[in-house]
Amino acid sequence: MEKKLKYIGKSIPIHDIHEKVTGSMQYVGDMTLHGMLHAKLVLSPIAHGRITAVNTAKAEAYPGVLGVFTYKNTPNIPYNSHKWMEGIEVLKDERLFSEHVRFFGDRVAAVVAESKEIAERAAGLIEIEYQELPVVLEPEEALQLKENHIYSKEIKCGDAEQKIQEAFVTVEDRIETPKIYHAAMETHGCLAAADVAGNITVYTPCQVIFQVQLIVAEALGIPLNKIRVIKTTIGGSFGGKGQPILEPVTAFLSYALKRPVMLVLDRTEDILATRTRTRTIGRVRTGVDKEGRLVARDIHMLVDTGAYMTNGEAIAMAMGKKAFKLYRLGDQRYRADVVYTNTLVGGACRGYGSPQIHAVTEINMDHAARALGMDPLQLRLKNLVQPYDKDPSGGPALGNARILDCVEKGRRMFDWDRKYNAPKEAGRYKKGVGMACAAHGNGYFGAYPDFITLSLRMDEEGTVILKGAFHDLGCGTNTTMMQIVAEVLDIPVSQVVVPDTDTLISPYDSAGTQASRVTFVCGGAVQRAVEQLKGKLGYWGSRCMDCKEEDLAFGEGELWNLHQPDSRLSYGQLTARVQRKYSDEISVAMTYQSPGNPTSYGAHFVEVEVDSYTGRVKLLDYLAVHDIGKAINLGFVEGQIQGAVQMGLGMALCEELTFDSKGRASSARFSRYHVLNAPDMPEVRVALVEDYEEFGPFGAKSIGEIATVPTAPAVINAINNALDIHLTVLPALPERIVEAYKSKTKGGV
Amino acid sequence: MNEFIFEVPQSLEELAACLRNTDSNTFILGGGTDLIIQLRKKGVSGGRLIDMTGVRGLDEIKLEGEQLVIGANVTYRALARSPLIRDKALCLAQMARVVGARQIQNMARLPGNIANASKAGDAIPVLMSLNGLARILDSRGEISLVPIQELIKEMGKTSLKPDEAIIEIVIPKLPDCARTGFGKIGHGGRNELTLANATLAMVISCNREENRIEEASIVIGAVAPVAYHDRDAERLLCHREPTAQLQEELAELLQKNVEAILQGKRASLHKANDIKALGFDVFGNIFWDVL
Repeated sequence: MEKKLKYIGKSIPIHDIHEKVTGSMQYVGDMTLHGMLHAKLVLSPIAHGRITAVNTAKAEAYPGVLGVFTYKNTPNIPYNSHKWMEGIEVLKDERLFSEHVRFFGDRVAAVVAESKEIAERAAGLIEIEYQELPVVLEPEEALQLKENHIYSKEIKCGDAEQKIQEAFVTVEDRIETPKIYHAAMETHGCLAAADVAGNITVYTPCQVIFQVQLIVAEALGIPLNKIRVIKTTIGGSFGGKGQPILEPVTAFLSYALKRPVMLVLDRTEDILATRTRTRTIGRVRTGVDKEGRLVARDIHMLVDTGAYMTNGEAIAMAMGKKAFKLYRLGDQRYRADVVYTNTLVGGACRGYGSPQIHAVTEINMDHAARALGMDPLQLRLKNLVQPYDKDPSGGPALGNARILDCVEKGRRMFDWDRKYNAPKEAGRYKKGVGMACAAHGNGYFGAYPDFITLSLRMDEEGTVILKGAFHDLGCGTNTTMMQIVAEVLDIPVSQVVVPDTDTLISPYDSAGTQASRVTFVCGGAVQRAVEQLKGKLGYWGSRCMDCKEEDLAFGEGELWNLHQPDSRLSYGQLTARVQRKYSDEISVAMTYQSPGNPTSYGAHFVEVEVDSYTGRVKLLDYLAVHDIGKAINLGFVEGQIQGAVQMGLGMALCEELTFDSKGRASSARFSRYHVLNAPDMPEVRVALVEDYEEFGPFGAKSIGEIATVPTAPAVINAINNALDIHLTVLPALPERIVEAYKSKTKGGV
Repeated sequence: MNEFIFEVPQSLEELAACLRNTDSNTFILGGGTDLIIQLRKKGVSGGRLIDMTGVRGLDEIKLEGEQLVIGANVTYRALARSPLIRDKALCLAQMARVVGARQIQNMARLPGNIANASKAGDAIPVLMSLNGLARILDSRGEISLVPIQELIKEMGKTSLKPDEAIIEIVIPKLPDCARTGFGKIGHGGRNELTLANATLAMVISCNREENRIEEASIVIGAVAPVAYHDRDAERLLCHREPTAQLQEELAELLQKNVEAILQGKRASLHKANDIKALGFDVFGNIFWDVL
């Protein structure tokens, strides 16, 4: 009989809940250090040009200003903030400050002063002259320019070109996805404190401390050992804080002035000068046979990485890999081209390209279903992968892929058959339903090194101290790890301590919170390590209690001899005895290499009502079904899905960074950049398929990124279903919907 | 100047005294929902703040004869909950319920919306449709009454002088047979808590015995720089029976006129779609018992 789980699968509050709800939690912007200075950035007011003259005299003379920095008096060492470990080949095109500005919002100067207000005022006194250069804003235009076209990639299996000729029906689409802002509640901020010996401590809400250390070292040209990075509590990231952006700048400012420097962006700066979800233009041709089986598919993704390369190449690769993990397709070609534009910089954003490519392919799937006159759910059922299928492109095996279960479960819970087949009503308001499926990975196995080193120590009170470079982004990573330890040892979660993440204290981790690896890889490592710790408890327990290891039982923080139940030791007592009697301790240090990279799946179902006059969309029902292996913390999983759906709905309906003809961002504030507020949110129903994934801790696999992936195509498919139109540009703004509807009623679409 | 002088007059006399010696760094503070943002944005780090909220008697909604009088310190929340407002000028209550979020409604007041003359100000079209007037106090203690429509000169500009403050809003008595309504559609794809993309306020007098519209006042906000009456639409309704056919005609006409105003500006064309829907909805809501 399966052992009943005590802590796994329960909804246990996040470890810092008390501090957060009482407002006593310190975020980086709340911190103060003795002698701390404040920095203010100056951002480029043009989208492309060269600085021809800089006059900082007035700013330098302003009372309270300690330093003014531009490209002229800062290191000119190129780096790429995407590089997360030594040895990864990247195109290095970023610098601390630009002489050649590439986008509206590029960093051109910084002022450091005694107060934030003084820094802001002095920043306004810097005079910079530019020679403007032509701007390239559209990726398709950029693709024609040699200097803007920076990377190409192809992944294939079979012979898509040949096979597609044999298809009964071929449907072709060109689908655009927008540039999107992460919109975390906490804007980017960083505090750096350099000492007289040139050591720098960087406090930052980041996703990878060792990446911050690496990039600061590269950008400043100083050794790694001079830099200590401490992760602060994070007020949301969603990938936006995955790359070090302010860290090298703030570290340098502090290094130059030998005093602590704080730099916190305001909302407009945060929108302009950090990272965005990359805009894409996808072209897809799908061939299907008469019965609705996919014959072949040819995908091309044009990736607009913005003004700097960052992770443009990795996004192109990541998107391609997803294309081979959802449907059984033996003949498929994926190509991608990455281009520079003079627009905001692309970077990691929840899903890492997955929401973009799935928007393209899943909207196209519905198009194929319409062409065949088939229910789009049925079309998917005929083609979805099955458990333990191989990846035909040679990627890691899919593992216990339960997408078919997700679709069938969603079909029942959503009442899909009835809703989809309901006759359309006449009148202004039109109802429709849509669904979409998605696939996402669990770490870097198969592509990059994926390992983590941990140490665990049992103390004399029976508390376990778990040291690892965990980067809790507010979604419960630390508590998840604590639950795994608590379950294996049968101790209360409160008896597990996870110290702050710090390059000086935490053992090395190869990738941080990226690639949906944390629960699967880091959680898997914790389970393995704590099982070793339990083994040590058994070893020392048998010696201290003078019995065989197999005669020992464990429970509720104690171990005892099964043949002498009164002979008991708490874990703390045992630890103390081992220390006194054997001069040893009960601890484990281990490096864990990820053994696989299975795929997580999800299927979302949505019912909408569209106002055909205004194009406004009301969400009537939403159901998200996910193949998660095992939910470690049910509340966190549901929370992740709820939040992810909110982000996906923004991509579907209202979020879009736009630019005028000169490349100036026209939506760099929340009154112009629209995220869905709580009153706009539908009730999001969540259902899980929990069928145990090998190698995951207690069978768990990822949820944080996959949960946002099916949302946008499901919504677009529902709108298309409601109005019988074919939207291909995201987001589905009201005017785009009305235009498509008008074209249709005029006999267009 | 690097400090704020904060003055809290308790009476109209004290307010008038505060209004003397005003300069470009003197600001009148009501709920502060616009002013504080403006001060931060402009980096204003000092000046005089005259806090209206201490003036006694300006937090009332009352009848003066047959006129409705709303004190400068009446919040949107209070407007939305006032039985008197719901009875005499329903459109005001409808508007107050959709201004910003609840936090804004708890703090903001009508004079701020008027004094800012924002294109997206929700209150302005409603007050214009009701022929509302602003009662203004100046530094000499003199009081004048100015139609809201005349007060607002252009986007962001009013005829208010630096030594003047709006102390009350006056709504003239509406005919007994008047019906009023307000509608708003926000920016972007969201439905809630957004800046107005288009607003529409409607006041219609309808002879119940003859089931015929006698007079109509229709004001459109957030489309042009300043809210305006759609005179064509007002004429369309006069002397007509309120029917579903008329509802359709009105919606189409409003849309056509907004399209003409926007002169094909692609980015704003959805405002025309929104006005069509608002015209349809507000008219339908006003005549819910007839249509």
